[in-house]
Amino acid sequence: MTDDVKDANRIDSVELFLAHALTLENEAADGYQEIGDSMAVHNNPEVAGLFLQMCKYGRMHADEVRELATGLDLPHIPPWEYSWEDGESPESASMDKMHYMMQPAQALALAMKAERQAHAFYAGVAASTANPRVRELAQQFAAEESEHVRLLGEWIAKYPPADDNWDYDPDPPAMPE
Amino acid sequence: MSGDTVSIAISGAGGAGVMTAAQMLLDAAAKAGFYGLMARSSGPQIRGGEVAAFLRLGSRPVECLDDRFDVMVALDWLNVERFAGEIVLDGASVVLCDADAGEAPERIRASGAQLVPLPLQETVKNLPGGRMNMLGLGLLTGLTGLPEDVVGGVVAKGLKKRGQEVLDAGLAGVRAGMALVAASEVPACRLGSSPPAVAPRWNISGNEAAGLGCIRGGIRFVAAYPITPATEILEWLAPSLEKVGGVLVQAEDELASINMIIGGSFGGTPALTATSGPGLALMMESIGLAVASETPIVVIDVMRGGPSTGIPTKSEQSDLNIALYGLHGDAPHIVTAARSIADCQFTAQWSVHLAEQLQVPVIVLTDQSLGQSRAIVDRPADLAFIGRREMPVAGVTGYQRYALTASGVSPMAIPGIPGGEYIADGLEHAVSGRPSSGNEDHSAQLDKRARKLELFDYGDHWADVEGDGPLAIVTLGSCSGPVREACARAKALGIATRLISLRLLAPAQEDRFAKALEGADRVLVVEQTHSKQFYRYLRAHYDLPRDLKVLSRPGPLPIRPGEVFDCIKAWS
Amino acid sequence: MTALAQTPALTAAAYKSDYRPVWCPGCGHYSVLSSLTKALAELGLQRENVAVISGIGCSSRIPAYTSVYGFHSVHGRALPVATGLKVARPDLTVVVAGGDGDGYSIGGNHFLHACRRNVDLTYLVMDNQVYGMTKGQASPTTPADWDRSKLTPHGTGVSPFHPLAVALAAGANFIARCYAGDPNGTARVITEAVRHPGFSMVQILSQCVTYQPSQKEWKTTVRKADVTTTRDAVRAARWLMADDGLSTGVLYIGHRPIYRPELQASCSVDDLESGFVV
Ligand SMILES: Cc1ncc(C[n+]2csc(CCOP(=O)(O)OP(=O)(O)O)c2C)c(N)n1
Ligand code: SF4
Ligand SMILES: [Mg+2]
Repeated sequence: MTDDVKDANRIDSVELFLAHALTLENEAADGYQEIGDSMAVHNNPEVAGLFLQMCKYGRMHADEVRELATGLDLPHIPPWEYSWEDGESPESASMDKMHYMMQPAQALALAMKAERQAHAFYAGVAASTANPRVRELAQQFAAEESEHVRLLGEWIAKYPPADDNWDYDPDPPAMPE
Repeated sequence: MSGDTVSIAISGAGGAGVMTAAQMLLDAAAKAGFYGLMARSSGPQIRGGEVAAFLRLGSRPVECLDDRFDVMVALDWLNVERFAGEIVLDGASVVLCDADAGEAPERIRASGAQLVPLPLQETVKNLPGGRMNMLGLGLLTGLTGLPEDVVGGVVAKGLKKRGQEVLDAGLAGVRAGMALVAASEVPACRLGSSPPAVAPRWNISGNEAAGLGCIRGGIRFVAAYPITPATEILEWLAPSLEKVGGVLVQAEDELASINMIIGGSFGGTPALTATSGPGLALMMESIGLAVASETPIVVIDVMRGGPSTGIPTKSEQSDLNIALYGLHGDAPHIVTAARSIADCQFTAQWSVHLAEQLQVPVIVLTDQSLGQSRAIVDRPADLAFIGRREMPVAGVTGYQRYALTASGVSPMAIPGIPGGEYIADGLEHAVSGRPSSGNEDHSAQLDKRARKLELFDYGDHWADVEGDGPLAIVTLGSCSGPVREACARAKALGIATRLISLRLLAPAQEDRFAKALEGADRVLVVEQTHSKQFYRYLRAHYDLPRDLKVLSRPGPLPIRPGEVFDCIKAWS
Repeated sequence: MTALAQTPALTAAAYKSDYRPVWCPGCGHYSVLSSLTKALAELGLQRENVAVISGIGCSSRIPAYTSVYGFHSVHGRALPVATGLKVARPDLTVVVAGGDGDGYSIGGNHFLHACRRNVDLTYLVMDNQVYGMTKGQASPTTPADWDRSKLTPHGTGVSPFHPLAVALAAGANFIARCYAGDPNGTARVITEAVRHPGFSMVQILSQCVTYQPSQKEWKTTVRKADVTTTRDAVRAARWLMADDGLSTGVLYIGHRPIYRPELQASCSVDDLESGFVV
């Protein structure tokens, strides 16, 4: 990201910041939910459980942000006009990396990536904003994301790495319609 | 002359104006207080082809052509052999022809008809702007004794647009024709006295009647692709719908038209398409979609000779099988058949009512001989059938589109109703509409879709049952006219028959049919197919006496009352 | 913030049903669903006034995952169903969605005529260059040398179809390409497509992870088109014919006449009879 882009995306009001944070957490939770549901539909309950757990945390964070925003009039921002680095909210674990046979270590690694991106977003806001209250909040959120990263790291350590043949499926695909 | 009717054939090459003359004759007869029927036949050429018009006029309602013709007016002999099978002549027939047109074709000479050559061409040549067809109209005016002023009025109405000169020439032609007849030895062929018209009469074709019935039933959206012989339904509907706040969309093909009407109906607008065999075949998959998604639609099939492109301009009843059995899967739907030109209105309107009431596709069978023929009929009675669809109320909670109800009919939400949001689906589904391949959902939904058709009370409209003789003649569609007439002739000879003409073919009405047949020990089945499709249908669905005969013939020649009568007589 | 911004009545999530998709994890269709629901929220539409119409295919499963009205019809016929609905009910917002097989192959004729008829519809083609639902056969947009289907073991040997050029030639009024890997960008285009009157054609590159795994590369190969939107069909045509099919953006916005019959009654049904009276 060049400096002038950063400037264009600078977040200088608390309302704008919280609007971003709320969407980030909501979309993170929605994304985890969708992936979790999809894993459940495809009979991978272990990974489904992990993502649904992540979803729960996401919802909790969204509630926290909502609480901070009480009394404030958050602006409505069309999805494509947020100051995300690549157009998508940073904590959404992207569906296109998913696989129905994925193993917990892989799932958690993807979640880890999302948490890191969220951390980077908050840290970036803290570094660039001109508003001290925004800086304070962004630093606080960044610190929370660091904590998630640390916890996820511990979580990952509990699972063996994926085996070599993790995506070997002896059955051919079905043809439902 | 058969009783109180006169049968007339007019033939000529393209450009001679046969159809116009015939139409005017029918109009004039109607104005003079007579009933009548007019059918047509033509060569395959787009323009200039040989054409024949067949009229039967009389002082009572006419539902079919007679066995033979009293009069033939041949404006020329060009290719007239084409109609030899249709224009049945005998020793009592009179053929008026042009003295300069050469010798009459062999088959006409062989019929024994009295040939009356008249100076037709010569007369026309001597009339400024004279036309053969107006001369022909004059011949027939003279022969039938229709009042000159009535014929003149019809000619004036028809030719007014073309200017005074054309009109004057037309009227002069009519007078000249009358004069030729008066000066010749032609035996008259007078229409009897016209019955007093109590109520206003209509001059309507089966295709127009079907269109009117649909609009009366509530149809406001039509999508269709042109096809002979159904196109006139669309031609009448397009401007008419526009006037009553509806619309006709010309689709890119029949796959589009059937799916467009499913979309329109999903949106809450009663919807229709009209087609013929080839188009119906293309529509089958989506008629099944309408069954599964319980979307009401009406499909009119104006049958023509099949299979494949077949004989587009001629009648046959051979789409019966595809209409009844053409859908894949267990797909209960309704099939109706109109049994006369006027009945096209009744059957179409009733069919719209059934479709909407039962949320089901209805295939309405008519055929070329009904659709493209015109008749003078008493104004049909007003019918109470209006499409009325059961719907949930706005703000409904826990709505389930395919709920299992006792009647099998579940309220159908339409877009705009809050709380009713659902996804219509052709995949088997649960009550909510969600796809389901479970055996319980499949059985429950199959049962529901069958139940709603089985439990509904179709009343007396399922068939016309007339008479109570021991010989029952079971028929459908356009064969009903000839059968009814045959029964009347039999009655005059003291032979009691009963006529059962089915309007509702599916779902089969086993109990009603059994009741209608009570006391009958013989059945004669009359239909216009090659493979006895109707007979096989009857066999499959109803108990029939062992003593059974089938009078079945493919198109293009219509079933005539005389051949039905002969069967009855031979069997009595 | 642009003029598009206004506080929506419902969140995007409110346009999703609680029915869990059967799509493979990783399938691009998930993000199309997300883009569609975001667009509906942004458009501020009431659920009961929207209908999503589809045919058959993995992509065509999408209506069931929304909470609006919808029709999951038969293979290839989504466009006529939608056309009938919109003509009969011009008050509704009608979105049509489906796959490349559904739209360009079995439904190809309807595609041409929907463009030409220019009814106010938005058509989302979730293009994965394959028949996902039936185990990965070649579709009209599959590259000629793709030999991974048992039906075409040596590749199709047939040049792929160019949906956007065809749409332009056939008369579509709005032409765009999106990528499922850019859900917010896709949401924006869908929003604009719905707002633009007439037939809007939106091709969405939507990867099939099961039968076209190489489409993962789209993450790096798909890019924003290096042109600005044009109203000039000739320019658009020239650009489209030179493009490799991987550029995204709104490529053409037209002002072609729209098919929208008036549904105003001017006489009663009884009046129609007068034409038959002798
Ligand atoms: C009349 C008919 N023919 C064939 C099929 C089988 N079929 C179902 S989906 C499909 C192809 C779907 O491909 P596409 O539209 O590209 O959707 P995708 O699954 O790739 O999203 C086919 C051939 C069918 N359902 N109906
Ligand atoms: S088969 Fe392909 S298109 Fe179908 S759900 Fe799976 S990834 Fe998506
Ligand atoms: Mg596909």
